[in-house]
Amino acid sequence: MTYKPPKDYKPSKLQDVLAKEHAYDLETLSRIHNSATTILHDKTTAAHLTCAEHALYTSTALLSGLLSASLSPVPRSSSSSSSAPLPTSVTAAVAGLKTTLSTLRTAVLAHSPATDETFASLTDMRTLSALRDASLATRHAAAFLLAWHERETTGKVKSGAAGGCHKDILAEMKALDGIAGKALVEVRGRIKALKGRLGEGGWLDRLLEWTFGNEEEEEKDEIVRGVAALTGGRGGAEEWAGRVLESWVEGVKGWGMVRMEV
Amino acid sequence: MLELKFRYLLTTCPQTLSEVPSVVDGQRQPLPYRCRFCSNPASSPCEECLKTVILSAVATHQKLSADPEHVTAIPLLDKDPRLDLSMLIGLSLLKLSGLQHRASNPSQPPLQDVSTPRLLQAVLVLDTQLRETPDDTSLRLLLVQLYLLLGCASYAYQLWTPLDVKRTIQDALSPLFFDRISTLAPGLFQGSRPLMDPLRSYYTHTLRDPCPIRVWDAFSSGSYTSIIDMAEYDSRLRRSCTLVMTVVEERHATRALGGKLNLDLDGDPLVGTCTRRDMIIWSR
Repeated sequence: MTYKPPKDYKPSKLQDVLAKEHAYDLETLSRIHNSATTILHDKTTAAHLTCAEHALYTSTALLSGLLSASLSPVPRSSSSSSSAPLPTSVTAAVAGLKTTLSTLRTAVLAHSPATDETFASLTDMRTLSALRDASLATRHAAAFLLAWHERETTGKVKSGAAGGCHKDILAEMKALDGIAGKALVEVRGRIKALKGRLGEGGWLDRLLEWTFGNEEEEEKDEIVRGVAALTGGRGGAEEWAGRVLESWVEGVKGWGMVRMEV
Repeated sequence: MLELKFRYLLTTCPQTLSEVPSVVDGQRQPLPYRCRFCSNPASSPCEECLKTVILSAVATHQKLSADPEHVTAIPLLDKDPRLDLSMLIGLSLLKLSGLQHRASNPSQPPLQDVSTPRLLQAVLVLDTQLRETPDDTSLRLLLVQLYLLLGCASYAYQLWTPLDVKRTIQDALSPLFFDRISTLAPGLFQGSRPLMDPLRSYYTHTLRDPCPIRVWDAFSSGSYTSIIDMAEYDSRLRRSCTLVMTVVEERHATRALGGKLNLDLDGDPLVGTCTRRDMIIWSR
């Protein structure tokens, strides 16, 4: 299943302050939000996505909804704007985002007790990538909203009109920004830990043990003995193990070059 | 060997399992089926039968390799029988590891509940066979997918390249390797040649004209029915998922590695050939 929404969702790309750009932002954000929500609610979608992917796309949909709600001009009078409660769509979106981020963080940290933690991480890099994407998108969104609010308030103060967005929204965005920042630190930490772990010695033996079991198990299990006979035993399999290990090391090295900053 | 292949086929076919009530004489049965072949209690597929298949295949393989007469006769045959035996062993081991159950439930982490030793044994057997017979396409494709599952993306790429997937079959086969590759191994995009280059150049070349050139050839040679097929093929190619995948993976990797995105999505020549209506169709 190769469905993906076009990844042009990058709210920080715009620097212009013209009202036209603002209208374009709003329209793009609401279009993304609408199409993403439709797809997510479609019955067949969930069956095709992994848990991490589902969380990632949900967070994209929620962020776009949140931003389009926050950026829309709110009818306000100068006295009531700061005390009016947030619209329910906004609070729901914020809560949803917190849930998806924590789902992704749990998915990255969890592994079944039977498998080695490093092996589980190495075979599940997509979840790590989803967490990174979701956190970066959240941080981009927060930065964008805060910058826009800055521009609006400094601009409008001079002209005397009220502008910017609701202060509660700002507070929530800052909180989300904090959570996302922590998640990115965790991702970076995980890559570093993987690198360190793979740099330790004894990996060839470990891999061979995972494949063949220890000496006793090899005696007992006929299939393992058969496989060992076909592939030249532990000695013959060393070269293969070396290739697998090298590939893992290269993969993690590539990950080390990935940006984790906004 | 034919006997083994048939045995494997029967074992993996659900009709060889007869259902058993889950409680018999007041005791819960641990496994839900009974295998009609070996009369043991079993789950789907029957593990005992799979083990028997593997052990017989191993024995046959060793017998073939040990007999010098057989070994000299092999190059004269169409296909090395040891290749089939290894495939059989590999696939049976994969079934034993429980990988197929996870395929039906993608929401869980990839290798949860999969028996790691069996999976690694299967990969080892298949890899060893590939070293002996590097030209077999199906073995190579299977190994590429298994290595991607194991997270060895660079090695999988080394195995993928000799397959020489180019021109028309790229549209169909590329997702086998390139699907979500930027989320798995962004490091692959840092080589001397951009990873998606073959795909991008194929699509740019084929879709550069709004109307395929061959249509004019078909007109002039009088084969009018093929024009309709060509037009349909062209419009399907413009809306192909592989094309979207190319663009998405490239952009994702560029952003991940800190590069600059040269073009806005609307300005990308590949995507620009689609209308908004096509975008909605993609999303289905």
